Amino acid sequence: MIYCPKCGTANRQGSKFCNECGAPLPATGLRCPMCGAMNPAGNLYCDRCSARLIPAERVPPEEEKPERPSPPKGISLPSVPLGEEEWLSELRAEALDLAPEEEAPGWPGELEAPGEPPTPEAAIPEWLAELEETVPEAPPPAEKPTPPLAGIPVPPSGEIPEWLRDVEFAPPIQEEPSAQPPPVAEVDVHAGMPSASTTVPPILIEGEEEILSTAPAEIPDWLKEAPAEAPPEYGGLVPAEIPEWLRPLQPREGVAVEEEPTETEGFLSGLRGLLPIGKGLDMPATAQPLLPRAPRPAAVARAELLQGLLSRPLITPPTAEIREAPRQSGWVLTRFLVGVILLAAILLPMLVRLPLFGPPTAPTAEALFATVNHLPGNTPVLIAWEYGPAESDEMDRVAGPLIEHLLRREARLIVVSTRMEGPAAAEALLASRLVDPSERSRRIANLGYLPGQAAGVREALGNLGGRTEAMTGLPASQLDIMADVHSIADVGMVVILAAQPDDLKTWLEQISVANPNVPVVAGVSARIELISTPYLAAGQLRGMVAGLTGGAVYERQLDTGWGREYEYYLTSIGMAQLAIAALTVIGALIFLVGGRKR
Amino acid sequence: MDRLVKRILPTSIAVGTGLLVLLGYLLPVPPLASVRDELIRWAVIIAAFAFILGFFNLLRVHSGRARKPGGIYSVILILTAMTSLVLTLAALLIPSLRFLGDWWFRYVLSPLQATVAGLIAFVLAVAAFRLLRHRREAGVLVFLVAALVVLLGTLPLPAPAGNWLANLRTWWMNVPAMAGMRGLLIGVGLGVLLVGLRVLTGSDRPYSD
Repeated sequence: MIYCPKCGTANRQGSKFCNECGAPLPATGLRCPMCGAMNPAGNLYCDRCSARLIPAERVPPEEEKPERPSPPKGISLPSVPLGEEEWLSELRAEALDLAPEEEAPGWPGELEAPGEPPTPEAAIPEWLAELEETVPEAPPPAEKPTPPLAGIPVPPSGEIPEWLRDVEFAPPIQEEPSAQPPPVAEVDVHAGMPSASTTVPPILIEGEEEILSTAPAEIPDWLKEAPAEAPPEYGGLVPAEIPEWLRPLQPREGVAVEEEPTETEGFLSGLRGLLPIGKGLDMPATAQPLLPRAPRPAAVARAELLQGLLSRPLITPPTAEIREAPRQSGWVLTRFLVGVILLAAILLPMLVRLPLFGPPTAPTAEALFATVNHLPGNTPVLIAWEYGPAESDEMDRVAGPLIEHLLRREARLIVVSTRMEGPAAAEALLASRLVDPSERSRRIANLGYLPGQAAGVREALGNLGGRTEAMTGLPASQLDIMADVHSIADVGMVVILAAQPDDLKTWLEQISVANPNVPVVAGVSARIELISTPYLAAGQLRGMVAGLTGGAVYERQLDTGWGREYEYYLTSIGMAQLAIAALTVIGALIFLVGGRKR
Repeated sequence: MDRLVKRILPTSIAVGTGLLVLLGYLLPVPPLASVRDELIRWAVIIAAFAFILGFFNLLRVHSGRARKPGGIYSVILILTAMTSLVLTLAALLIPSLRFLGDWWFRYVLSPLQATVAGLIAFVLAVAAFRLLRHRREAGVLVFLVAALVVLLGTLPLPAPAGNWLANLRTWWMNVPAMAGMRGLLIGVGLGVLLVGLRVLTGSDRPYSD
């Protein structure tokens, strides 16, 4: 099994990739140098291309060799065992029938000593006869190379090449004549076949006996200098000289080698040469006892207390009545008093006329009144109605006099809003300020809600004529007041009525890009007056009405008859502001004197 | 595939659209301006459909909450939302029924919103009363003094206290408060510019998860 290094899945031996996650598996076999295929360890030849995997110099030893017969030279057998083909089995059976074991083939007999009668040709099976033709016949004795010996007549000079004439004949080898010479060769034709191994008697060359019986020749001088007999332990090799630095490692004779101890326990049992357990190695040098020998008195006291608690009998505790946390009566009273004071401050001016405040002042509102007063008649004015019912109590008093002033100036009012409730809020105020309702279609076009925030504003400024009147459902292009108004470029003035700072910023930014030359004025709530002032100072706003005070100033300038209402509102709000200021001071004094509560 | 749909595609559309609109404003080339206007028109249409989607999503969420304890408020929300929708659609389809929508807006929505907005004054009054209950720091004292100056300076009080307070309020509004407000506006402008650049470069992707 090969375990995947990524997911740990067990894969079959020889797998290249993990079956679970597809990660490449580490190669554990041998890679073929020819085709690159991976082969299992122990293969001698590649399973794919049959190339040799292990170099010839590194042929495994005899006991590790597979039992299969080694293939003939030049042919590599795959390591995967192949099933015997059917035709080969039939052929083998036929051969066994035709060539029983007692009838040896005739061709090996030729390798035996000459003189024996050869086996009749008919006894050789046909397949064996074909094989016999492929097996090279034993070389004739005359062709066996013989060493040049002394006494042998030198062949005629005409048969010896010229370069060999000067070569001195090798010295004769002194050899004892043997009655039984060693076998020349053993032939193993095929495993499984009838035993064909035959010990071939020595083949004597013609005239060799005469040569062997000849007295030894004289040994040349160069051979006499050689040692008479090589040391048997080195197999005829001369021992090399051991270097100086290797001599201490040389085993000494007579010194007994101490056998290393073998581990007998644990998972290392059976291994030799392990480090012995030495003193100081098996436990840390600064080992401290985990617990003190004597428990501390405090720990003993706690343990005794715990033991005493545990040994007590169980007693069901009486059901405790869960009482609500006492309300903070002071806090409730505070809120009640604040509410009563504010209500009284707001309602009192409506019941009793209180001459507490003088006439309001708002220079910006007066400047705006002058600007609108110079507006030419029948000028299209785009009004961004950016407030809803929540802010209408204040913003209606801001926008009312301005709208009425524009109507008096015969301006054509084109209303849009980015707030969904804006068109309805606009319609309510416009209806109250329009003197003659029949003139609405001639004076007012409510183009409704603009979705998309800044994108909606930008789109509307460029395409005012393409919108639809919200109240009548008519296309703006069919309205009389929109006949010459197609975009912001055709508008004479823009009025922004905003209660939130973002609405004011959005409109100012988009108008400054679409048509920076158009005059822009604003009516804003008191809350965003501070944010609007920088635009007024920078000239982006030509005029501004801020809050109820600004509306009252504009109303007074316009003299519409709504002055009494503004007086009520201003007095109520002034009283509420005074009440809040007084409460702030009283609260500060109370908590400064009484201390801080957490 | 998931990465393509959730990140690469929305980012490519947002960055490409933003660059086209920006180039339409920067380069005075008619084709770019027309492409810019068309893309803005698409954005408005998508925003309108987003409102419709949000309306039905609100109904879906509160219909689930209506079955739980305390779901009476969800029931009220669903009823009022459906009433507003029906009356508005009726006014659009049948012009003679427009008075119903006007009545609903004038006598239901406006008083309710004004009442809720009016509670802000009461909450602010209580908060002003308890301003020094928990914190007594220099910043709180400065805020307290500024609030008193602005509250009293706005009132048309009789002279000479009224004039002195009005002048003090005017100075306060025009010098320290204006300086702070301009700083805020510049900071907001730089922040908007930076956010726009981050969206254009794909560093911020508010349109994808």
